[in-house]
Amino acid sequence: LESERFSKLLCLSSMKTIPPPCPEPETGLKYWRSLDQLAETPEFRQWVEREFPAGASEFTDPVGRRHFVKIMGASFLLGGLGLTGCRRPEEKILPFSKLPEGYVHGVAQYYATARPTRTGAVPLVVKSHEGRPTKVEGNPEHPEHNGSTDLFTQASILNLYDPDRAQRFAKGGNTATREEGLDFLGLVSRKFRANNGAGLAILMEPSASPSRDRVLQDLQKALPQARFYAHDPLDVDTARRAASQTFGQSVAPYYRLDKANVVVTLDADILGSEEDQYRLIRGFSKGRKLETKESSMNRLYAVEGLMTLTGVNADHRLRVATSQVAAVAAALGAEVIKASGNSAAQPLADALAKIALPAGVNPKWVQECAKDLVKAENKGKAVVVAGHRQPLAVHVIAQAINSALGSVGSAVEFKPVPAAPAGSLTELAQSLNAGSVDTLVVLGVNPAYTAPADLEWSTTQRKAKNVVRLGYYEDESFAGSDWHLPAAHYLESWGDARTSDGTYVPVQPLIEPMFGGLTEIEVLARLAGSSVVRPHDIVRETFRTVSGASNLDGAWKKLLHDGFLTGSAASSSSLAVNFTAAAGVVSSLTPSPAPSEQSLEVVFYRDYSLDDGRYNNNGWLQELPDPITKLTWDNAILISRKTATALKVANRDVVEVTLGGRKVTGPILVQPGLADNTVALALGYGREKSGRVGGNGKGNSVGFNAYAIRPSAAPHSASGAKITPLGSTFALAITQEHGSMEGRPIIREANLEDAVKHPTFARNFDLDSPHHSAHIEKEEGTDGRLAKRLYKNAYAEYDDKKGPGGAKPPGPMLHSDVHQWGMSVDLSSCVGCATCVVACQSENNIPIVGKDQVTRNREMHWIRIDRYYSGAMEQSAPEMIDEPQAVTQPMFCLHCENAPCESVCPVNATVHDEEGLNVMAYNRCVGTRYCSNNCPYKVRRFNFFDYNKRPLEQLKGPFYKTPALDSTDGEWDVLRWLKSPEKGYRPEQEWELLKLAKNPNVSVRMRGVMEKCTYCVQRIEEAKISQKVKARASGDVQVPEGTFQTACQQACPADAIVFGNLLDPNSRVSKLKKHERDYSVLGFLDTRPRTTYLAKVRNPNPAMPDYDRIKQPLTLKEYTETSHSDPFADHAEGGHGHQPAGGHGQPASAQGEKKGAH
Amino acid sequence: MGHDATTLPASAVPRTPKELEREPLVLNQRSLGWISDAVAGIGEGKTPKWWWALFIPSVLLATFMFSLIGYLMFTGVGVWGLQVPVAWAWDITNFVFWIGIGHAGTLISAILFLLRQKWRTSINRAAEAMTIFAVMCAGIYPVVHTSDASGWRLVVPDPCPTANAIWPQFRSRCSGTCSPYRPTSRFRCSSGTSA
Repeated sequence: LESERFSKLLCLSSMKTIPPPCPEPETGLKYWRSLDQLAETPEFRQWVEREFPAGASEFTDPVGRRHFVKIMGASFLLGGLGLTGCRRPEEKILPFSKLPEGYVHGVAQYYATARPTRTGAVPLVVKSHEGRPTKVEGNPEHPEHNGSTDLFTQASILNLYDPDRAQRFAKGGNTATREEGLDFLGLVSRKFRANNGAGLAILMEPSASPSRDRVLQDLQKALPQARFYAHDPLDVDTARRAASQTFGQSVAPYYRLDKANVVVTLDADILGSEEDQYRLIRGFSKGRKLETKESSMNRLYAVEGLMTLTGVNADHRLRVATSQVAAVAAALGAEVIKASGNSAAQPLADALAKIALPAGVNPKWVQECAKDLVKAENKGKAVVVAGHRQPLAVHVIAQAINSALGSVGSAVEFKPVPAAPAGSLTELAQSLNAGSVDTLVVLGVNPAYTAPADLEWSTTQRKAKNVVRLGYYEDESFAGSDWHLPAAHYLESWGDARTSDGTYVPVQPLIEPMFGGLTEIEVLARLAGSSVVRPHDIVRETFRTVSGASNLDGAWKKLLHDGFLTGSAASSSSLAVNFTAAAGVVSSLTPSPAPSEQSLEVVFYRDYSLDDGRYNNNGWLQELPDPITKLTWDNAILISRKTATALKVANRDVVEVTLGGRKVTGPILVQPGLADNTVALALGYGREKSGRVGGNGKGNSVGFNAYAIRPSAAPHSASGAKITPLGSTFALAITQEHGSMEGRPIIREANLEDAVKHPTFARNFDLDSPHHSAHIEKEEGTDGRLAKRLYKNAYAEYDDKKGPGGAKPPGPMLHSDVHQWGMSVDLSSCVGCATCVVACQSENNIPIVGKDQVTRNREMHWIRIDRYYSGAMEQSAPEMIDEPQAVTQPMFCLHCENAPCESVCPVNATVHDEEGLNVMAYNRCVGTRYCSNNCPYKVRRFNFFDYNKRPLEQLKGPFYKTPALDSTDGEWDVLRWLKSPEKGYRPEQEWELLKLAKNPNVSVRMRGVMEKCTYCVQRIEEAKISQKVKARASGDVQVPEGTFQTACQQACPADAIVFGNLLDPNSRVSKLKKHERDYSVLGFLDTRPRTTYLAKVRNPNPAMPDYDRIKQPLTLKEYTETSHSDPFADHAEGGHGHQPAGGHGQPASAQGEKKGAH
Repeated sequence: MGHDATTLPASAVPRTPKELEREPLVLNQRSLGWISDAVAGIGEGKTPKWWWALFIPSVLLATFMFSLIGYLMFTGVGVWGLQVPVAWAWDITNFVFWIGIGHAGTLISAILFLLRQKWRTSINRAAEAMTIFAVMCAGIYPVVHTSDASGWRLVVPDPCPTANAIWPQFRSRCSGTCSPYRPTSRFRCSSGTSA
């Protein structure tokens, strides 16, 4: 029930003497708590408005914050709430004097909410333990989402507990009280209401919040002369502006890739860095599953300059400089319009015909791609997507193509979205320079860091008399602000949003703002002088208009329970392309000259992990290896092999990039697949004032700041850059240096044609497959896939033991006949986005280790995504590096049945359980690391230092700081550790927050202990226990399929990871295990892993000019060359010479079955 | 030695054949006092300068070793530069090195014994001392390679009848009384069910 839940939220996190007031229902009986409330006395109003009882928020001395945090911690403890499990038992735990209804201590609660993004929101269900949110999951009930998330969402929980977040109201940099801050907002409001808002400028981030729109309208009404500006360094709004120009209405494209047979991306990283990418991945991967024989497969063409996840997963990739994509788009558009024969499109076709195809692009590539698009069977099922780095004209061309293909309304819909009523940052800079801004209110944006270099924002901003900023961090923009208000995290605030399909979702808090932070809508409402300033009330009021519900109370409760408003998705209207307008936009497109060695092209791209820099202080994301470069803790100057040779630079050389007179220095990293003469710079690094993770300038910033050379005229790709080597080198922390499989069948691939013809091809790679070794005797019941065991598994031996009379001797079975767990990973649908890595980190309390430790191969991620390039094998042809195929594979503990780690552990710390899990008993582990040495998959992680207990600066080698000689907070570290082993050597203030992020169901491992994937054993046990409770006397203790998911499975947007019970023949995992494409990595070692993979299938177009090169996946080529064996050939010709009698002409699987029956 | 006064007639005592006659160990009929002085003189006399010259560096090196072991224990086994997949490097290399030295000592001693070299005693003594000390040196590495103050128990397994062929759980109550860890300190921050 909403009000109870709300009251719980409020009450849980502030266990003071008197609980704060809970909102009253709007109708029905009113209860009053005190006579003051009844009388609405000013004292009571003031008490209501202030977050904390008197005293708590009035520390004005610098140590106040720390003390405040202590009070916070103490209040958690006093309630017996947060972290009683983390406390040592001698500390006092008091029970609730009145238990909140439905609350069971230790049992997690789930609340529906959403993470607002630039153009929408990610609908979420967030897990809360004792009043603190601990894990974020997608909302599976939402009509357009399957419960998956993106990696920013997974990592956003760490931002909530970031010890560096803004924790105070600051006036001129000095701590002020919350009341003073709110008074100042009132002052600003009164001042500008007197003059209609002249001189007030408000700078915001793009948002899809209807409440914000509503409050903005109120504000505009109250202050008609106030000016509004929006700033987004990525400028993802281009797609909407282009669609609006193409169709004459304010609409934004909404791609349904699950309905598409052919997808062409024009520098659009739909599987990586575009908005809503997790939803696009889901749609795309649906068309790559091939789980049943009938299912066909979609095809992806990528035209791009950078090497992106989309390019990695594309069936055909056209490598062309980012500035030249427009010309390719024009040629493609011309071909498609010509084929569609639409006479109305003639003006556009004329405009397109004027643009020549860039040099070096095979016209046949474009023609055949267009032919594939316009094929009759792809009618309405082909879609072209333009990326946010491309100019407006490319988006217009893409929408015109989609319209010509008849895909509008099916593979792409256009959802009406309100146009942003705001000017750009450049316009704001002009107003500031003209002196027409008296007060500048900055909401959330960090312009001092993200503004293009030529706006010189730090000085420009100071031209306003007053600058008020609402910020989550005291970052670069803090210094230039007269007032700095702390922003609330989305898990602390009331809000709302529309997801990209238009569905209305609430943003519901799970915890009271820990540092009294404000939300955007509250600040705007206060500026408008509105009488309703509580975000909850504002959102509820918006919901009243949005839902039009007669029973508002009930509808509101349902909204908060479901996490979305049913049936509120925007209906897409039928639209006709305004070809004249489109032709106008296209004719303004001037083809940029192709970049050359003298005039390099700089591309500024959204970082896969830091976004535009907002996640710079998030350790999980900093340490997440870039899915393509595998680089952590840094950005690099990416160039192609050819460019590097021409410039005579190599990996790690420090160079200076000069663009328009501005310079930035960074290390070189040669990126296979990058367009020549392109310099790719990731945004979001090199912060001057970030925090203990991202650094604070003075040489400890992570990476270099690409914004420093970003011109406002060409913010995405700019030409005319030069690279000068500086003669030094810089160490980069790259988690995977070796990018080739060297022909080993770790990832097995085939093209669709071959995969259909030889459905069991994946098994033919096995060394013990009949294909290679017909002479080897096979294990019964394995379809001839596995060699007969030399000796029995110890467990099987015990279980198979027969006593006298053939009966099983008394004693428990070692194998459970209820549950046997297993996992299947579909490499065909996995795109390598790394969301699972962060989800696992969040679920399993995995620490970060810092750059220095990553360079020493000591990262702790339980999941690593291996990325292999193929085609680079041929030493004689280095140009293969320029156009590589790449494959990605998530690798984690595979839970081998014959686990090599188990047999060597001297203390039995890693053992098998009866359900097939390879479990770690952390308490037994003494850290001999024998298991890691013996693991063929190298998936075990060792805690070399107390990574959970040490601040990052102590983790820098080779001469590490030792606690024996160090002190923190003025106390000897060893003593601190003895007093509180959990806290270790972390500063008090850091620890008080960071511990809140931990999952209480998972041990926080200390130093000297081996750890690895547990198959989320805590979730398994939770499900088993609840099933046991449910089963009661019936004895039906088998956990039904779908009851729970592992963290990686739940987060995976591609639905590539499937976990379940192998003993349930109807479970998805047991079906996938029977699939022909199922194989074990390094299966010839007879480890019998429980996690197996489905081989990857590619779908190239035989008509394409590059088909000759990729007739077979390049990894397959490498394999064939290395092992002299062809998995598609009849095994008699396999090259090993072991010809089975009568084996000729039979398919491999049939032969296998025959042998298996022996 | 020599013969003291005896009641037996001299003819009743068989004469030791000349070839079996041992050379006297102490010549010139020196007294016990002299022998005591000679033996005790080594310990009681002034320590030679060369002894100090060897001893002081040895003590310094030993101190260095113990402080580095302390540093290792307090900081973590990562100070050795280990990683995944090279999870054993410094420790196993040194262990094998010292074991090898130990083998050399045993081998020298054994070969001299098998070849019945009568002059071997002093050399064997030195070689076997080398073996013992080399094994002690080698033993350091298994003890400290877990970088854990409880590592010493790896070589002193407590009697624990339920542990068959595996090492006992060093931190369990059945083993150990003087662990520098409080027995439950390691994994406090778990589910809290124990609270």
